[in-house]
Amino acid sequence: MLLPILPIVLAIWKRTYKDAILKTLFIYLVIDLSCNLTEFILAFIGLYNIWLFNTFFLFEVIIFGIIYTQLLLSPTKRKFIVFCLIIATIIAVFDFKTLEISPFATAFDKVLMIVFVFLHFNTILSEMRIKNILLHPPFWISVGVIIYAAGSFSIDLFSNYIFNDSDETFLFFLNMRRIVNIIFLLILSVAIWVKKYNIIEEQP
Amino acid sequence: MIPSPDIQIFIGTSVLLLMALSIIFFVIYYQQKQLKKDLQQQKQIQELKNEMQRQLLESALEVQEVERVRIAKDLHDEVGAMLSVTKMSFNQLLRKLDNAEDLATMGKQTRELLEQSISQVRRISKELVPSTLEEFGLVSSVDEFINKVHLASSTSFVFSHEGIDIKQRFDKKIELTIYRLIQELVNNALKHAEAKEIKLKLTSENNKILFSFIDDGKGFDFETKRKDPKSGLGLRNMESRLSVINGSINIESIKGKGTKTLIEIPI
Repeated sequence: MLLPILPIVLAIWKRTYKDAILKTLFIYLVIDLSCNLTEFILAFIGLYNIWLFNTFFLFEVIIFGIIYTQLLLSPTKRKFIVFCLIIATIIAVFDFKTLEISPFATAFDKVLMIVFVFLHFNTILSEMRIKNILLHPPFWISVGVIIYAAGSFSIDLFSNYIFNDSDETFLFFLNMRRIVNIIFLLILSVAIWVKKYNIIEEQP
Repeated sequence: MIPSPDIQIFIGTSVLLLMALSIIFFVIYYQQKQLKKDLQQQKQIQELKNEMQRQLLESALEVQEVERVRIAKDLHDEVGAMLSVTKMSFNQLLRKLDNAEDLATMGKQTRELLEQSISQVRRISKELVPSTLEEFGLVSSVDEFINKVHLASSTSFVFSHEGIDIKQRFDKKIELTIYRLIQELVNNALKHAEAKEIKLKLTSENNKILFSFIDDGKGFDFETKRKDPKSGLGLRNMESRLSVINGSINIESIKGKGTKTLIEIPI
C-alpha cells in the first residue's frame, strides 16, 4: 500500500519533479498513494471503496495519456492519444459501477496503456535520438507501464469472477496483482533514478 | 479437457507478461543494434571527410611546391642570367674607364653590388627548391642545411642518423615533409627560442621514420602557443604537413629548459 512512497521520496531527493514528464509521473504517484490510503481508510471503517478503484483507473489512463502526449512530439500521435482518452472517459462513465469493479472500462484502460507504450517504442526506434536506452527515464516508464498493463489486464477483465470465486482464488490473484504493482513501482523508481544519466542526441 | 477459468486467467496473464518482456528486450536489442550501425556510419563519414581534407591539403602543398620550383627556375634562369650578363657588360665598361679613377672606384662598388645580387638570387633559388634533397637524399640535404645555418649563426648542431644510409631514399613526399619540418623547427629554435645547441636525430625502424629535434632554447607553453592564432600557425602547419603522410608530432617544452620534438612517420 505504501510502496508509492519509494518513487515519491526518490523524486523529491533527486529533484526530478522539475522535469515535465517526471513531474506528471510524480503527480500520478501522489494520487496513487492518496487513493491507496483512502481505500484503506474506507475499508477500515466498513465503507465500500470499489467506486474509488474505478475512478482511479480512469485517472491513471488519463495521467499516462498526458505523459505520452508530452513524450511524443508527432501531432498525429498526440491527437490519437487525446481521442483514445475521450473514448476511455465515455466508456468509464457508461460502465461505472459503485459496488463492483467495472471490468470492461478497466481492461480497456490497460489496452490503451499498452497502445501508448507501443507508440513510444515506435518513436524511440524510428527517431534514434537516444544514446543509451537503459539510461532514458521515459523508456523505463514505458517498461513499467507495459508490464503493469499486461500483468493486470486479465485479472481486471475477470475481476468480478475472481471476486465471486473462492477466497483462495481471490487471494491468489490479489497477491499476483500486488506483485505486478510492486514491480511497476520499482521500475518507475528506476526511471526516476536514471534521470541524471540521461543522454539524448540532439537532432541536426 | 478445458482448464478451469482460474488457470485460464493465470495462463492469460503469464502469456501477456511474457509478450511484454519479449517486446521490451526486442526494443533494447534493436535500439542498441541500430545505434551501433549509426555510429559506424558516422565514423565512416568522418573518415571520408578526413581523407578528403587530407587530399585537399596534399594538393595545396603540391601546388605550393610546384610554384616554388617555378619561382626558383625563373629567378635562376631569367633574373640570374640577366644579372650575369649585366655583370659581364659592366666589366667591359670598367675596362674602358681605366683612366678615370673616381669612375673606376664607383664602378667597382657597383660590380660588387651586382655580385652580391647574383649570389642572393642563387641562394633564394636554392632555398626555394632543395636541389640537394632531390639529387642526394634526406641525410645529405639536412647535413648541408644545418652546415649553412651553422656558418650564418653561432648555434652548434649535432646531427646523427641511425638505420638510415647516407644515400638511402624515401618517398619524395616524406623526404620533402621532413626537410620542410626541419627548416621550420630550426627557424623557430633560432628566431624564437634563441637556442645555442640543437640536436637532430633521424632513425628508421619497424617501417617508421623517427625524427627527434632537441634544442636548449627558452622553451614555451605548448598549449598556449597552439591556441594562439598568430604564433600557433607554424605548429599547425607542421601538423597539417604531417597529416598528409599520416605522420604524428609530439612536442614537449619547458620554459627555460628547451624543447623536444618527436616526429613519427610510417614508411
